[in-house]
Amino acid sequence: MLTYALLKLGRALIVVWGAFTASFILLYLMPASPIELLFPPNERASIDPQAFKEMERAYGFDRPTWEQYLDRLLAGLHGDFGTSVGTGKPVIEAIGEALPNTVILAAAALVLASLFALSVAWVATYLESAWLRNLISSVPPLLVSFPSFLLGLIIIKIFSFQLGWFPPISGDGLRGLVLPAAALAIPVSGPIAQLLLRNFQTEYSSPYVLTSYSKGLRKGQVLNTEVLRNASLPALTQGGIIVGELLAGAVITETIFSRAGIGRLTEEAVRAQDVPVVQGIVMLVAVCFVTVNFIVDVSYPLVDPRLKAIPKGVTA
Amino acid sequence: MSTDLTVTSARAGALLSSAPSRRGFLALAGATASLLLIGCGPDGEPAVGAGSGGAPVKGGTLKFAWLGAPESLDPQINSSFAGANFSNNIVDRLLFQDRDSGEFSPWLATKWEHNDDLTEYTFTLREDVTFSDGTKFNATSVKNNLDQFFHGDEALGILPNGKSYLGPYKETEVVGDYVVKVRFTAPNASFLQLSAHSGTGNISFLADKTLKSSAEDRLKPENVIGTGPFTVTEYEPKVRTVIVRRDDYKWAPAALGHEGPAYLDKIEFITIPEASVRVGALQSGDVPAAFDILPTDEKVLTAQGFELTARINPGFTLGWQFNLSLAPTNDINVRRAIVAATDRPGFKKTLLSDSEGEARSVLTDGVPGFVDYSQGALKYDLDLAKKLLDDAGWQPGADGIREKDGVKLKLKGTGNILVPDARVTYEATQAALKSIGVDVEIVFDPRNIPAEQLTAEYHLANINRGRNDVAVLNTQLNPDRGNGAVIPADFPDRARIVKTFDALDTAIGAAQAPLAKAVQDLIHEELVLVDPQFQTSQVAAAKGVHNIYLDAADRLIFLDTWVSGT
Repeated sequence: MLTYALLKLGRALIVVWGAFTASFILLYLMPASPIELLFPPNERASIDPQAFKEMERAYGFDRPTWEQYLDRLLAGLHGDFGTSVGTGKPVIEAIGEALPNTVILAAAALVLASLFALSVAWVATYLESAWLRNLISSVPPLLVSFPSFLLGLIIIKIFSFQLGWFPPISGDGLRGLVLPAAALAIPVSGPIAQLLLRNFQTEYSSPYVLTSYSKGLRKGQVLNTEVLRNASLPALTQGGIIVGELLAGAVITETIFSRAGIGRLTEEAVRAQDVPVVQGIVMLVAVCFVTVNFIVDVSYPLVDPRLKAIPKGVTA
Repeated sequence: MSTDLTVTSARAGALLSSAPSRRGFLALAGATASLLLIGCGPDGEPAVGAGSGGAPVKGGTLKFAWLGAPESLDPQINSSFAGANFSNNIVDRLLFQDRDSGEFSPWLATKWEHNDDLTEYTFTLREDVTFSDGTKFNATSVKNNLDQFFHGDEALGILPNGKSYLGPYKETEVVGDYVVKVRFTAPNASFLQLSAHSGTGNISFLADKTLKSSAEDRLKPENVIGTGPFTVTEYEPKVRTVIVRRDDYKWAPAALGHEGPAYLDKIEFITIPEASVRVGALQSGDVPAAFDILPTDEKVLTAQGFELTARINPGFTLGWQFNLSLAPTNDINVRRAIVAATDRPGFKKTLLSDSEGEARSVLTDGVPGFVDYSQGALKYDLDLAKKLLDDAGWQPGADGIREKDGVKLKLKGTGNILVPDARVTYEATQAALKSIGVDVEIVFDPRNIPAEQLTAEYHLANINRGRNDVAVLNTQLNPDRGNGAVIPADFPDRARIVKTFDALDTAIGAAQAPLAKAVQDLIHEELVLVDPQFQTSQVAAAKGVHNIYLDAADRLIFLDTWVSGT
């Protein structure tokens, strides 16, 4: 088990290093100097070349590429991704300020999305009527294909501007969290619901369900005690993807609901081509993915005893 | 095509394009950014409805929603639109520029003079001005600020933010406690305007404590100290910036007609990045006033009883710069034909909002030195455009696109996604050109195109640049400076062209007018360097809020603003 965990950990570190290298190549070696992006394209030509050089030197963009790479990699190991070109603030601080807001939003959205997805899957399996079952089964694809941008605007229009139940600008407090969490949860719940639905149906047709019925359990009990556990497990493997969807969704949700978070930070950094911030965010996302997948990988054998039997070689 | 229709389709397009990309993280972010950014642009036109509502009421808090947020509290690096609007209320300028006449009047400086070469400016300062920490504003403050603005301070992490704006800055000499001399190594006629400027690159005076604070410490409100009518007290990046009134402020520019401190107790700038949410918050009463109103929302808001404050953005008119180094825009007949095929009066009649204006020159109407070419070189005449191309030997090919000596009349241009109506007018021009056999492909979001590629591949480059001074033409189009029209090194008469532009630096006021005309004649009549489309505007909307004031650079000053009693 320890070897297994170490192998997984090593692989995780390689992924993070790969993400750093790839983002460095993509961001820092772009044909345009990051300093060039400090100035509006209109005005670029009228910037004094001397002033331009000084700016480049101040940010360390004038040194040889490999030197910049090693320096930034070393600094990155200490959590230092440089300072934002736009605000002069250390990247790690900018991310640190934005992260809690997004974590709260994403956690709330994840809870809502999971509850909703589970209900859809449970109800669609429980119902006897075929057309009702089909109707409910068609909800997740609808959610997946609905543009989340439009969804956020519709939600804010109805519940804020027309009904006045929630504030349009979500500041602190629980009331401000409801609308953005719902707007983020709905598109994220789609894929989870699709997966659960499929698993529920597969598990429900397994032989052990017949055994449970023969023991005298009723359909609701079978679903709750037997099917639910077996069907939810595969959903765990989706963890990394769900985290990605939440972070990507936050870009839109935070903008519509005027929340300061990782999503807005990303949107603004990409817009302003604030390279150090973009790289910091790429690393944050990479670490999130890797951590979630690592936890899932390591905990899976604990949750599903069958996996312990798999020979070590296969997992590496 | 009506404005409303266009807007609907633009919105629908925006929604559609945001739909498919959930996993392309950065791609999505970029796409979203471009969608949401519609709506920050410069503007102008006399205020509509400001100044009504009886006697001003003192006190109250104004919640003011806008698109952006200051990227820092340091007025010297606030180059973004929101940043300059915020800092405009916590600092003062040496001079005040009248927004209609462009003339200068005293503010922090009571007197100013310059030598004949325009390399030396002497300012006599007011003696009763203090920073909000109680320290005196004097000649040394001016010197320390200009020096740091130009040189930066490496130890404090302060960049040379003002280097490109101060131009040939040499030094500042403290002549007396309240007399200061600013020297340049070359003539710098536009410095006087810069000393009154509040837009990008403005000069802001900060107390010694601020000048000695590091870049990081300047993100904390208590370290950012100016002489302005308000002081900053709270800063939550991307969310909220709060400024409160200074009760001992008594040096408002006389030309503003306001004496003593501001009326409002407090202003809360709230960032609402999404345009429809901003307008929604206004309509639902969540905020009484909002900025960065899209031209397309003007009609609706007016109909709902909101007062709009709008002005044309002074400076370089929004339009295309021709690339003179690339075929076929190196042919002056092609350039003339494109200018003649652009229906500027038609745009104003059918496409633009009330606050936006017809382009009559490369300069906007209010910039001192502006000359009207709407009945001359910029006249719309599609038949003339056709004739110009026929006479120059551009013959329609089999596919309807003209060609000459095997070269097709196919052009690449850039657009502007920040100003929504730019898309509409560029598309109209594109359609008109198509009808006379000129094919134009437009990339509407040019922000990721590196400068080199732009000059090497694009025939038409969007430009829209603010500055209430004819110097904007010099920085942008002078072949020895910005060279926005990419005039090649071996261009005939290049030296004379440079000289005509350079001359702008050597005169001020009335003496500059003939030089400004010579440059505009060169741009429109002799060389045809640009194809102006229209004058953009900046719009604020409010209910129960009076005297929202946009200054000569279209930045907000809240000195005279008040809210009806609650």
